[in-house]
Amino acid sequence: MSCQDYREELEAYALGALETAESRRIAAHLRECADCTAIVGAYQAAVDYLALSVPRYRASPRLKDLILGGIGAIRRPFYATLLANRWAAATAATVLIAFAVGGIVWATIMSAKVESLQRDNEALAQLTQLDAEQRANLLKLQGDLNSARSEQGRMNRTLEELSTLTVIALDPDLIPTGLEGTALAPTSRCNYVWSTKQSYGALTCKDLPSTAFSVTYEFWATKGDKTVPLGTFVPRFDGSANLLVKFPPETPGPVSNMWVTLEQQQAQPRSKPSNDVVLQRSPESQAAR
Amino acid sequence: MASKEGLMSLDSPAEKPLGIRALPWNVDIKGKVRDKTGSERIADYGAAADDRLVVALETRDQKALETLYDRYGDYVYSVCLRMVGDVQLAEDLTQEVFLRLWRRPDLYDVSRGRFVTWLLSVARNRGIDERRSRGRRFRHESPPSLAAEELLASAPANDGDDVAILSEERVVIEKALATLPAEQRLAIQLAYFGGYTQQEIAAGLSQPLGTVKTRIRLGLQKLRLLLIDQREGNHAL
Repeated sequence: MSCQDYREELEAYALGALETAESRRIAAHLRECADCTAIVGAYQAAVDYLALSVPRYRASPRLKDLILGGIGAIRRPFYATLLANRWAAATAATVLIAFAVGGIVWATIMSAKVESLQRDNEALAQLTQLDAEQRANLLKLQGDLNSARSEQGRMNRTLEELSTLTVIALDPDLIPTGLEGTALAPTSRCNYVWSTKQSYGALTCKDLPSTAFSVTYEFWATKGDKTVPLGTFVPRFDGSANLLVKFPPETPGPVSNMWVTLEQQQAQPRSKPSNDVVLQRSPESQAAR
Repeated sequence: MASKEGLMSLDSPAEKPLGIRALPWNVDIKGKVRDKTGSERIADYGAAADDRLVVALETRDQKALETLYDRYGDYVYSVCLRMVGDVQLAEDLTQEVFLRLWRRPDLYDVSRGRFVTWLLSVARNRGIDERRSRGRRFRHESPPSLAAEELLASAPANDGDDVAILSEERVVIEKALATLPAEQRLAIQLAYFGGYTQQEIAAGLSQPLGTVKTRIRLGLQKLRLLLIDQREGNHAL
């Protein structure tokens, strides 16, 4: 085929308006024909101009961002710009690493401390438990000890009373003294036996009126030139009462009088009797004396 | 199925027309672009020539791409919009064209002509591919009467010398197209913007194939005469 056979199609070829098979046939010819190639080049130059005939529209501004963003040229955030600087990036990395290492060390130390505190807490809980048990045992022991001391005191008093009674019982010079009730207790009676040598005595009473909660009976004596308190007592439910007496050794002189009064309870020993005399020596005892 | 072997394509460079390629000073025998200035950076991107910016793309110069987009982004978008008639799709195609330029700037054939015409031809080919992928329904090609027409804007504020030249050329082309008989202009527009073959145009217009071929031949010959032959020496493509 001659060039003329192709040249009728060169315009359509340049415009891209040929079917595939026809286009390939022209392309094969152009590879061998410089003249036809030059003609096609001129037509293609004209065709290329056609694109410039299109009315110009303004693309959306975001299209530029999309394109530049697609190639990574879009404006980067400030930290990316900062990291782009080698020194700044190195500094930032150093600071971050320092923080990370410091954080790890701190966490390790705190973890050890927490474990230590947990162990101490467990030990303290055990000790507290032991202490509670020991405290309970100690309180029990104290209670037992107090009970023993109380029992011991009671037994001591009993032994002292028995000793006093033994001394009185074995004294051949016992002096019996009768006490009669005054107007406050006209039916009451007391007998007092006492040893002048040993300064011991025993008072037994009956038909004593009951007293108020804070009121007791108190036994008094005049020894030498002093009034001496010999002891307090409260009657039993049947009105009877007993009192063992031991005269104070520092009080010299003979016993010249004795009586029983009603007294208000108080913590300190009383040195002066009240005027509420309940019992006093009977005239017979005074006469026998 | 129509063939686009006569058109340039970034996808299939083997389909480029077999023109005699003179080797410009910045292209070695292996076709690899050399930067004559070595590692020197472009001092003034706004004043840099298109070819220099394309060479800079070889070194992944993002500012070069941004400059080329500022110059021709609206033109590429307008061609895509003319081809597909859809704003969103036209933006997608424009993005695709520039991203391909970024990836393969070496596909620009200096001997083929000016960068802008090459870039717009790439946009046109991409638009044709998109139309064909969506199925082709013949319709009379006319300037788009779509909503995007409302987006028609005044010339960009950053119009430079190149843009001004393109605006002048557009006037020349419009005048040249206006000299064509309406049936010739329609056949050429259907082929160029619609991507239709002569057979498809003939069938769509219910015209004999020979008539359509004649209209295309005569119309393109006249355009060549007006746009190339008579202006040769004024603007080298």
